[in-house]
Amino acid sequence: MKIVRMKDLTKRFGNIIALDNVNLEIEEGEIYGLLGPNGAGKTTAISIICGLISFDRGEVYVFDKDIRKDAEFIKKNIGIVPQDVAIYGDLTAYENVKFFASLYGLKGKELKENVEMALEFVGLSDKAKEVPNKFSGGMKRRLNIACAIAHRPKLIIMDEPTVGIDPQSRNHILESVKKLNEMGSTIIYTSHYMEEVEAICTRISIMDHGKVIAEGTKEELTSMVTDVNTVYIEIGSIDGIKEEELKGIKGVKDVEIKDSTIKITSLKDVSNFDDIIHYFISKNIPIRNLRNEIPDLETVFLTLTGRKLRD
Amino acid sequence: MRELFLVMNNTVKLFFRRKGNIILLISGIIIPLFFLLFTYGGSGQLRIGVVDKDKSLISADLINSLEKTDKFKVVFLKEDEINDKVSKGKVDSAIVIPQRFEEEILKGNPKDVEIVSIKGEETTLFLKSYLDRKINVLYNLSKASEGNKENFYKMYNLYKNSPFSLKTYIVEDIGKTAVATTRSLGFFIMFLMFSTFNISNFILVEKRDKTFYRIFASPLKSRTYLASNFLVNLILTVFQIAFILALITFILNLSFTKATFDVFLVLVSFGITSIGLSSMIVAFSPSTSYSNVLSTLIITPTCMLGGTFWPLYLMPKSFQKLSDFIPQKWAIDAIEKIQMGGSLSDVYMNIIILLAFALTFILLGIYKIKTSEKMGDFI
Ligand SMILES: Nc1ncnc2c1ncn2[C@@H]1O[C@H](COP(=O)(O)OP(=O)(O)O)[C@@H](O)[C@H]1O
Ligand SMILES: [Mg+2]
Repeated sequence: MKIVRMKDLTKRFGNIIALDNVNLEIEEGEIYGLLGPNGAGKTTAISIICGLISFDRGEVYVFDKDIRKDAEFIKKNIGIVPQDVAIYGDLTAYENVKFFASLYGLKGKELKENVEMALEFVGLSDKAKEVPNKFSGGMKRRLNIACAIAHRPKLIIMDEPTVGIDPQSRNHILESVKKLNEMGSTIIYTSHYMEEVEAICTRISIMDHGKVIAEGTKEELTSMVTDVNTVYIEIGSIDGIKEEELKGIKGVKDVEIKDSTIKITSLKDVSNFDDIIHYFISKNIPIRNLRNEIPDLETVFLTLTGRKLRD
Repeated sequence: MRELFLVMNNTVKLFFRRKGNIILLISGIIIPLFFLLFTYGGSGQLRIGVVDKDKSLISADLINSLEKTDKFKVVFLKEDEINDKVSKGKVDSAIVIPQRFEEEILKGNPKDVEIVSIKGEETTLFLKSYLDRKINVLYNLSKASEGNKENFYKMYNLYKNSPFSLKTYIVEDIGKTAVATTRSLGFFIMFLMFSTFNISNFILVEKRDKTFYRIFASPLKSRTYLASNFLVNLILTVFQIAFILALITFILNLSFTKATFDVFLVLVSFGITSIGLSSMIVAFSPSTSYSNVLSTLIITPTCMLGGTFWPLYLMPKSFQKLSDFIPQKWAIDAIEKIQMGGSLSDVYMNIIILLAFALTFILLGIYKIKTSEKMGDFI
């Protein structure tokens, strides 16, 4: 089953085209990343999936159901972690999770257990009776997640859940995303931090100005922009190294020697790592440092748009 | 249904968790009561100077009935003393029963009883209303007896002695306490408006705090959410009204009567109007800062124009006309009528007008929300 299917989705806010002919397919069990700078249209896409806003053109199916016809069913099976923390500052953490979970029909013992479990999951059990007004940013973000998962949704959507928090809380959240996925939920994760998306997502759409400009696994995406693989090797002395010999190794396209560092560029689909290292070992030249430069999503974005993800 | 109660319960919880809400609730009751206690403390009796130029059976009876109400203390005066006594405050008002008062009534064209009081003294209204009612009864009796003196007195005696006659016209609460109550309820009305707005505004607060987004991502229907806000507002409003009426009754040492209940009905009708207005303000406001300004700009001036702070007749004529378009006027007007002894049948028009205002406001609010839902920018 396709969890989400968007066809030619277009959404305008007045003159602004927030989504421009977007096509997306998200499979069950994925951690699907939406990567793009601010204003790319990520939140708009998510709000449409959740049935929160209308759209101008195209089709949106969630759980194989039309969002315009079966919004209630769809909403029931989604848990959303909004971009802006959406909790009651005056209600306790427990009351917050309980209220939102009860809107999904949970009650009685099941409600109580699920609420406790959700708080436990985000590590807020010991703060259950405290009000979020006194929480740190990271704790609020975690409660924001707890409020979205207590009803055990099939699809969990997280809209930039790590904005403005400390690295420790961020790692905690990234770990919990993986755990939620292992527990059976499909995840949609939006971010403008490419490191996060690279770290956890199984498939990624890169968005810009309302368009999906590239889609695929991380490897697929990086190979779109480059077909070479670059290795930097630092050695003590370059005496005895012959450029010609290095160029003779299979797959090597180019060799540059600068000071004590050698930059070797190879074709991406040829694996020649062993051969390169063997060359140095056979010449008895000790390698001081070795760095493999893999193009990241930032490079992909830069190549496709000429801009950086974050400016 | 379950969802409705869930959200209502949550709204009530949120209400009582925020100190500001409770302060507003309490001051809306305390301040009008303080006003009642300190401004109009003292005896509830009005001292009425009386000059009887007619000295007939009917004039004597009229004076007698004034004394019987317990609300008026009658002081007999000579005509040339009136201005002095009134201006020095020895009496609150004076009335002059004209010569041939009885004779003219029998002829079917009753003469007005002249009332003298310090200009603007609101008690005059109550006295005048009381006398008008009495004279109206006499006039009707005279018409029914077709000018026949004997028949007239027969009927008059019957009327006086029948258990429901005079008593029904003797108002439970007339005079100073009535005036004080009306003014203090006027203040209450203003607070009530701020209070209903405060609760309607919860919707925009939720929008600001983004919980609105989360609520509408859940399967909850928007109309359930809006209805729950309205109902919580209504419940708290009814509670406030019942509470302040109970306190006023207690403080003034009155008893609960049908009039108390009628005032309750009028205030609840006004409460519904106020909730409708608040909902409309919220529906048309994009943010809390906008709605806060808008509500202040609407509530305070309309309260001034609607006669909640001072009697309408103290305002220029043109403003008085304008007040017909202001719900507060109809509420105050109804309360005054009831204070003067009117019953529900005298104020049902006021109640209908109030409810019509409410309906208009609510429909406009719903229309606005429906169109923004269609445009997809309700969130
Ligand atoms: N309610 C709205 N009214 C008008 N413009 C909007 C609204 N919501 C989003 N936009 C515009 O749509 C574009 C996409 O916004 P958004 O989906 O929030 O991007 P992202 O989540 O990727 O940062 C932006 O240009 C934004 O200004
Ligand atoms: Mg966003």
